[in-house]
Amino acid sequence: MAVRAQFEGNNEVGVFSKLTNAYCLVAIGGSENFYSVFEGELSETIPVIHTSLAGCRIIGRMCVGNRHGLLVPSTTTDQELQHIRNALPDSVALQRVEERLSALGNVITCNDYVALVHPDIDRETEEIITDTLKTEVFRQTVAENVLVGSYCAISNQGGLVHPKTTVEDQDELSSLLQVPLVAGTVNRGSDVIGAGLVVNDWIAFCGLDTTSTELSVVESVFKLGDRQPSNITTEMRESLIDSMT
Amino acid sequence: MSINSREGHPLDLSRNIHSTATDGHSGHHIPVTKSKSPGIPILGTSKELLQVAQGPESTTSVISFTLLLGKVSMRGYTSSHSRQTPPLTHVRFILSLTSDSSSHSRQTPPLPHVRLLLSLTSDSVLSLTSDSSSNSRQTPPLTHVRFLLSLTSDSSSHSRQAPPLTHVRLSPLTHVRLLPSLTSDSSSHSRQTPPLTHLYCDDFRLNFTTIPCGWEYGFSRNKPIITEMEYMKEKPTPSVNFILCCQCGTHIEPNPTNTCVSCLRTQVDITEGIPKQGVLYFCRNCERYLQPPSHWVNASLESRELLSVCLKKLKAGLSKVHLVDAGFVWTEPHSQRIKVKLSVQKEVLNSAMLQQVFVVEFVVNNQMCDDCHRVEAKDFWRAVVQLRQKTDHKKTFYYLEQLILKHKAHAHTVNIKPLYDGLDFYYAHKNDARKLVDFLETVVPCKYNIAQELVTHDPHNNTFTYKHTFSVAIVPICKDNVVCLPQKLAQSLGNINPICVCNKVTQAIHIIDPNTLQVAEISGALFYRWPFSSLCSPKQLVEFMVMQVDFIPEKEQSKRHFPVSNKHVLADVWVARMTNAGLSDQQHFCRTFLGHLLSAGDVVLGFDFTNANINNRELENIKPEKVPDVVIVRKVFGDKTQRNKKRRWKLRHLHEETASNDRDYNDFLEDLEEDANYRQGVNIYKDNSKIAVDADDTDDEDLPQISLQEMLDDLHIEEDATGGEGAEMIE
Repeated sequence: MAVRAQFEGNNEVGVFSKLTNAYCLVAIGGSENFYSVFEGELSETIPVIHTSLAGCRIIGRMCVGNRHGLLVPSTTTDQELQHIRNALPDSVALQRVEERLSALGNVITCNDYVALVHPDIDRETEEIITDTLKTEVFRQTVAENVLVGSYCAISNQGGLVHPKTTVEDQDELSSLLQVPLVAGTVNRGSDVIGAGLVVNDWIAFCGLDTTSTELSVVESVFKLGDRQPSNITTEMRESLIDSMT
Repeated sequence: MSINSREGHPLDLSRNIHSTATDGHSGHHIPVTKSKSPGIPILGTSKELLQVAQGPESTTSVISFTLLLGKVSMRGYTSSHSRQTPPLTHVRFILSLTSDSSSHSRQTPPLPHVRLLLSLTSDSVLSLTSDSSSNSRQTPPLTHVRFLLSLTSDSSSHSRQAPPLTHVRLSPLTHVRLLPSLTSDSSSHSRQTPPLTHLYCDDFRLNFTTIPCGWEYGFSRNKPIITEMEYMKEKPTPSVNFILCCQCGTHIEPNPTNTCVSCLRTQVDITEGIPKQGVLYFCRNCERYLQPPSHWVNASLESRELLSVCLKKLKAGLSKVHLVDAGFVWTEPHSQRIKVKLSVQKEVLNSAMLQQVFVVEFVVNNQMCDDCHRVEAKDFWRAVVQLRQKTDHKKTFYYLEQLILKHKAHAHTVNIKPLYDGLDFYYAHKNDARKLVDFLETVVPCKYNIAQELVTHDPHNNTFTYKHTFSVAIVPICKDNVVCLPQKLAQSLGNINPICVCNKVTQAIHIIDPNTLQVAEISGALFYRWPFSSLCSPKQLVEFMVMQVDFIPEKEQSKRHFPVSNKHVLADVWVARMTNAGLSDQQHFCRTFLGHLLSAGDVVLGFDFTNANINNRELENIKPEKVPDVVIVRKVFGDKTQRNKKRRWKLRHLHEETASNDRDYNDFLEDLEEDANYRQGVNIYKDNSKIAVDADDTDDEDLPQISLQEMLDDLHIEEDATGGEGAEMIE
């Protein structure tokens, strides 16, 4: 399912949160409203961690992670690192990255198997991604934008990319990612997908401005909710019809 | 992940290459369609990775197979081998997966080649194996990570002795680009293996077609053996990418707002703030439109000027948008509506330019303009030019009227009033009056005074409203006047004889001495320094009969130290009064400058000093013996009424009232006929009615006449339904 949320009046929920299949990071805000939305949806399955990174609230843009690990920028304080380490499940590796492009969330996007990175990212970082996140790494652009993390959101089920991504680029990316991709928007036409949307394999959070059309695109491409054709309509159909006739 | 798996489970590779594996997390399920056709072996080892279809006739050795790799489907035609080579026993399609050790973590050893071998033998046995034996420990770690779909024609199966062929690689997936590149990668040859000897699958035609999420490659081979691989690059055509409108979900091309136009229309209206209706003020008298604040412009319907008037009305609203186009929508002229169609552009959300077309309707309201108001109010004027001449005839004014008409000097007059001794020209602006005065100064000798009268005065904002009066006095000397110059003036003009005849008035008074032919010019300024008056009016001139003419030869004339006229000829004439004809034989002797015109028997007009009662101070200063008896002024050509009848031309007039038929006017017309120079500044029009009547009447050839070439065709506009408007245009 996809949920709309807002961080202190700001629709860019991807800036203030990081969602993976194993954990969720949420920025510390003035009120707990934003946190409560995540807590309400996720608390039963994965830990929802209240944290800041390097004293900033824009944690979604500064870190990157999947169910195998979490990469945080070098500016993260020891205290924050310790807090996150304590809150994360043991199976998740936590790693600080000395990367010039320190907004890791903007330059890296990944699901549990593949990571797309900014073409200029450090080789060291690339290795760390491979080791920590246990993904393959591809230097890619999305619709000619080098900030792959900003302009796409991917999960293990699917991916939403910048609306200007050509069909060829989509095909290329989807062959790398091995998930279906769709060009689309969030937040009433905003093309910064990564900032407007956080998604894992079973839930997505969008900005409050996201229209129902956009929401339905998100739900269908990420295979969230009840929209999937059930077994009854696909596999069992023939036999049912057989038996009925 | 799978590629890192140390043990190299072959099936884990499928994870990376294709997503058909139904892993728990990668739930992306692409159904593999199973061919129902019989006789096609399906390899079980790769979990339905492959579906191989063989052509119905195996003898033709056309073997096609379809490799469904997730969403990648590949067809290969390995039909024809060269004649020389023995038939292949094995053809292997090797799907090799090469991994770069640099991308591995330090702990894992570099992975050389892992291959999925699909070998096709002549007996149609297909096997898919993972060939890890081909990995050699000695090969240096690769620098590139490539997913290689390599196609190997393995000649090792032909003879055991022959070394194995190396790879020919089709690498559709390099780690950066997805463009299929087909290379014969010699770097991957081991040192031990010789270079490529035979290659049977060449000239790959890559059919690059996009299917929803994958690619299809068709290989065909129709050339004999070559050792170099070629492939045709097919440039991927830039395909149109569609997204859903974020509002309504329709398919649109991505735009900066990512919203379809109709949805955007509902959100933003770039014409907001631009009035859709307006009022134009139109003066029906002068047919002009008001351009605020107080300017009236001439503009016809659908003209550029009218458009600018309309757009200026919308100026405030249009400042926020970019005007692209503007034009008129046709409306009925009597509808008093003007519709303007505008195209405007404006930047809206996310720097998207939106263009919109809309129509603004203007209602035309009638309002009399200020100028017409003044005209209608008759006495509403700001400046007046009072033109006066102290004479007892109006010939000068008739002449001036023609000059004004010809030069259109009366263009801005509000009103023209004839008064005793002159005319009053009324103007709405002082400058227009000044313009007329300047014009008058260039055509007649005159002087003027300016006076102003305070009409209103506002001490708060220090504004004064005046009525200005230009009083222009034309010198009272006319053509054919006999004058007596003041002594000082005569001296300053080359000591000319004081009793002269004025033969022409232009900017200056031109006088000629009938005794010596000496000429002089008296400008207006000079005249008013030593003013003098005419000795007689034209009415006082008397008709004389010329009895005898004696030309004076030039050598008898005194040596000339002064300017003389060479158009005139000096002559001694004997004249007798016409009224005394038959009564007395009294003849007068006089010298005249009209020798070139006169002969015995002619009638002339002259001034008879002997019988005149003159009160002139200047004349009194002259010794009586120096005063001539008679001064001949001009020759009389024919009978007045006769000439009047013969006149085949006419003049235009400022007003109907100024057209007259009195004696002065006829004299003026005769003057025009007699003097070509005089009529230079006058537009003369054909009188068609008289020309038609008098065409055959050709007697009296000696009368001075105006040739037809000098006449203009008068503009005649027939009065039609427009009535008065057309008549005005004639004027």
